[in-house]
Amino acid sequence: MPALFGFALTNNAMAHQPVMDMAPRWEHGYGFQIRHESYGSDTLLNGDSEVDNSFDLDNDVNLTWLEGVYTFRREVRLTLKIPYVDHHRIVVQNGAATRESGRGLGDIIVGLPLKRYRNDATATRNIAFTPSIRLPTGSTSGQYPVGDGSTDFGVSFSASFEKADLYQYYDLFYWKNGNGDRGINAGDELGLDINVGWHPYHDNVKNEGVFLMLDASLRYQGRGQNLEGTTGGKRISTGPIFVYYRKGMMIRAEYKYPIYESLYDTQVSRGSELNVGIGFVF
Amino acid sequence: MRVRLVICATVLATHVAFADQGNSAEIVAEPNQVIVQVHGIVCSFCAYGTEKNLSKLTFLDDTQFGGDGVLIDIQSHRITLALQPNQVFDLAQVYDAIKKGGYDPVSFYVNVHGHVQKDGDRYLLISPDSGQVFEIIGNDAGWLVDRGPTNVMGQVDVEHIESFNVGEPILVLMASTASK
Repeated sequence: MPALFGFALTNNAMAHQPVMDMAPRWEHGYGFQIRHESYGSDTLLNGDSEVDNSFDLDNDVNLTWLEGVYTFRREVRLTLKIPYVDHHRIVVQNGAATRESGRGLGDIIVGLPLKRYRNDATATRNIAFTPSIRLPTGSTSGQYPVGDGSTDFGVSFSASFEKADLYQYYDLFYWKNGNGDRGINAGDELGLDINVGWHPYHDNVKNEGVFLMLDASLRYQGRGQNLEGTTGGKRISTGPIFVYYRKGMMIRAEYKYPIYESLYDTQVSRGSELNVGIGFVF
Repeated sequence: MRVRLVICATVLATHVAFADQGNSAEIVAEPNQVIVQVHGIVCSFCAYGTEKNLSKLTFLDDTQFGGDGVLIDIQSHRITLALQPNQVFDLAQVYDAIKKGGYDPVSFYVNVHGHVQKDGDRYLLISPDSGQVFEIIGNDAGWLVDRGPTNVMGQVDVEHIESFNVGEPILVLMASTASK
């Protein structure tokens, strides 16, 4: 039996922008967001080819993130992300399909976005450098642990450009993942996120509006190992983003569908992803 | 330090431009309003902190513009503030609130009601209601003297706001338009 299962790109995308890149940009502003992220699949891939899944292997991950941000001044922010993990999977143990699950608080991510802004007559733009650290706060016990026991270091380079009716955001990031407990060793990750959006509705008096955006995400994770086998691979996904805001509240819903995925050895696909969150800034 | 307000002046129905009008020809502040042209203000969610900062200013009329006296227009990149009548307004505080909100104010437009009188080499506009005093600078403010109560509309250069000292009793204006 080949090593089954394990592709699990860590959930670090946009670790530095808990509510959105947009806010809070004001001095001593702060905010928090609760975001639910789910993904999963029962598609078994060998490389980029789907193979027979006679054991009905699958993976189902639900993450509820509590994310916070504090803006010292518009150039310097501090972010914190805490996930609650609830996941399960079907793996092969001793020749039989076995269900494994785990739940609990996962690994905390702390980021320090350092931005440089430029305000023009009809646009605003910023570039950012964000160092991050992922701390091994999640438990590594159990059949399907919620943490891997490693301390990981990330860095992101991002740029955004915004006009009254247009939003663009580009984020290139890299995570250097350390060796974890119990032989878990996630490969390093390289990712690019692109958001391009339209601002079709806005009410100046109510301070209310809508963004419609398209996301494209590219991910590469080096070959690694978890308790069940090989991890890592490449993935390109895309999908729509809907954002509604009113005063200091923002709701964001995002769906991503994989248009290309290639995994080391044989693993279960990550599948499509759904993200729904509500955030508040003060 | 003094805030320098640039006002261009017109008598009702008789437009007499006598100063640098800049963009003020396109921007008309109503009485008891300040309009601020702001660079970078393209998203009101992003500007929520700016609105919050501005709404704390005590001289705003919070019965207007949705209940805080602040209207952010992301299409024109302008912030309109509703002022309480008969109150001294402090443009330096407006400037500070916008800067701390993450944006760059570039011009302020006001509509001030008062009497213009000569004071040595200076022309002063004195609001009879609030007592606030404005110095008018420009090519020639003399024709406004002794016209009686006049509404004077003017533009403020941000460079002058930046050097403003809170508590300074005289705002320096450069006349743009005026009406009785």
